[in-house]
Amino acid sequence: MDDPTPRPPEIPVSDVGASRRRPIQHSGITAGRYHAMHLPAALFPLMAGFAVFGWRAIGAVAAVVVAVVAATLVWRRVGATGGRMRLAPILWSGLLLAMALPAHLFRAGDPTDPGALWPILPAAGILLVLIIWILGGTTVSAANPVALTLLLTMALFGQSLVPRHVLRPTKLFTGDLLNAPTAPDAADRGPWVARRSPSRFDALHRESPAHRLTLYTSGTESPQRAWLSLDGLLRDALPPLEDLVTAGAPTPIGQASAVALLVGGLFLIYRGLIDYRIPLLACVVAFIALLMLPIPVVIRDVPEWRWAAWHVRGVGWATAITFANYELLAGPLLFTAFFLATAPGSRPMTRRGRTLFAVALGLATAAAQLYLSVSAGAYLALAACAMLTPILDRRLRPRPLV
Amino acid sequence: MFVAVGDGSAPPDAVDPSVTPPDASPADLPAWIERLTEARVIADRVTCPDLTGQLQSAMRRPIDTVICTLLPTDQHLRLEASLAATYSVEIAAAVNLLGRLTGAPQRWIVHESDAPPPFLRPIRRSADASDLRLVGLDHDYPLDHPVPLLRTLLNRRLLPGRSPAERGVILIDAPAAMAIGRLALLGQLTTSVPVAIRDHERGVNHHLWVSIGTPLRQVLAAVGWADLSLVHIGYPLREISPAPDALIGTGELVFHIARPDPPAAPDACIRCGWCIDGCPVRIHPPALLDARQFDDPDLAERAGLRACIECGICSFVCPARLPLLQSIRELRHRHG
Repeated sequence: MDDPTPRPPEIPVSDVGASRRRPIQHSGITAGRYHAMHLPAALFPLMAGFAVFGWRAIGAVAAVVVAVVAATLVWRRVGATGGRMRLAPILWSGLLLAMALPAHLFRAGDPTDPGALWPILPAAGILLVLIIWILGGTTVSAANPVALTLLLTMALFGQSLVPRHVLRPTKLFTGDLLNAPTAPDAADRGPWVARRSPSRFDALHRESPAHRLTLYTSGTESPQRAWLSLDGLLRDALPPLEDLVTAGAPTPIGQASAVALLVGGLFLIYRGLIDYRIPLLACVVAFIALLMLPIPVVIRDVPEWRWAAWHVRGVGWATAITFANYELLAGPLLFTAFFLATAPGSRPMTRRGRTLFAVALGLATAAAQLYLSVSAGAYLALAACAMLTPILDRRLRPRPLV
Repeated sequence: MFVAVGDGSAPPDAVDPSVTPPDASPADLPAWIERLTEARVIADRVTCPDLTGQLQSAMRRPIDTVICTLLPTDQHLRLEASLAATYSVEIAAAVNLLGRLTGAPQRWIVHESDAPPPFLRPIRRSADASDLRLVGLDHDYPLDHPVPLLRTLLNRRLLPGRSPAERGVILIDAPAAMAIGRLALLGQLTTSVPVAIRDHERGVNHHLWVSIGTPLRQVLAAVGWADLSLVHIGYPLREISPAPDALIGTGELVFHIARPDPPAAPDACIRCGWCIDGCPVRIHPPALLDARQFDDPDLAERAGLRACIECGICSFVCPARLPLLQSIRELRHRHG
């Protein structure tokens, strides 16, 4: 018996005269909604930061964001450039800026008091808006405004921005980050998750791994004993690697947990908001470069620099890979690769361009972190590589399929 | 079921599978071209570009593949699959006939890989009986267009607007195959064509059988509308509106009824790159917009103007509501 003639699928009749709900020639997405779609990705690293840095982190983020919004509302009235400023992308940039600042800045006190650091927060927010205005009023420019703001802020306030505190595991979210010893305590060394013994302090005082690595690889470290080896640095002077992976090392607010950053970044990739090539290639290339570039394998009177430290006797693959992991996780590379380098203005628009851009970013980050600063290296690299973007866009057009 | 519109436009009965298809050889091609033209088996639409021109090209060029595409222009309508389910014998006969006339060793029927089984079973039976190959594709708009279709199936590059025969392929769709098949098996002239209309305003689909030459207004009235400005020809993203005196004939057979989207003021480009990522032929729509604004034909050429198939995906995804498709069409109009 033949099959009955199949009926084409029927959509139920709606009320006659009911208007169509969605446009049919456009997806309905707007520029504001496009930028708003990024916000959930920031929730993961922010929550991790709020957990390990407490209410001061929340206050710091709020201070920056409020300053950004207020400054935007003011600067929008300034000239034709101000008319191009849109709140959604600037708000997103402000949130990224807040994530890159440490929580201890949220500290009350008279602005004339050297210990009162809170003015840095609104100042950074206002500076961001000012830079955006100077760059044309949009966040779409080859010079990443967040990276520029961070570099300027670091240049102006230097050591004040080095984080040194992290809440104890028993005081998550609620503890006071600045209720901590005035100096690192040898008893507080070891994995952060194990610091559960009762204490009168809410927080731990720990040395920033980024700061320590910078001292070593820039050759300015003075060994406490006769010499300091790379292996000794990793074993004795740095926190356990797990503290950088999960949480527990003093870092900027949004970089408390590499896992949270990864989740947020994967969310952006999943939503189609960023190209996976940039974070993937930047991290892989940076990792390889960190294995190959010359580093001090031992510091005696002067550092002994060696290329490809993994093949040096006394170092080996395990130490070299561990060192590269510390460099990757202690600095803002993950944050930069997922959240800053993928910004529409900073990265090229074509696939080939993004590939080259990511490779350049990885190389530049590795070099900048090793020889300049772990804390600022990724931002410097981004500021430099973003200048290649217009050139890559002009030279590398997509190759049509026909 | 198809509803008749116009005089003498009742849907024909399917041909019995026992009907013997005629013999044919490449020497018969010129005669068959004439016969098809006299029988008004003429098609010139996206899924079957210039059928007569393709066959005439086949007299001068080697053809190695005959493809009948059942990929729908709109997956909610599935006109082609509906025809294939009912007229599978005719469609298979047409593909085989064209294969024998052109000497093409490869004879394929391309369908959606996730088409419902009731649509596929009849055509699968006919294809097996005729030794044709069924090719399933994961269909996503605009794979029904010859440019991405040939690229996907055969890895051959076809410039938009050029005949698939230039690449050794004869490409037809289900309505054309059905008409060819009925002529070959029954000697029947084509007096009516199937038309599918998706009414977005009322949320219903219409499948009609329309006499050739019927004004589109009359077809619209048959489904309860009078305003031609609500009609979009083909997939709405292509932004093609009918002329006031449009007739149903050899052109597009899929229409959409929908109020135009409210106009939106474009914003500055935010460089999201979605237009580039979404483009099926990998051109550079923002650069084409620049080329239009600066009237730069060299930039347009470098950005891939010639490769654009005007699918409209770039305009669809643009958060800044930039008039990308419109700019591309204006560029083509000015610079060919």
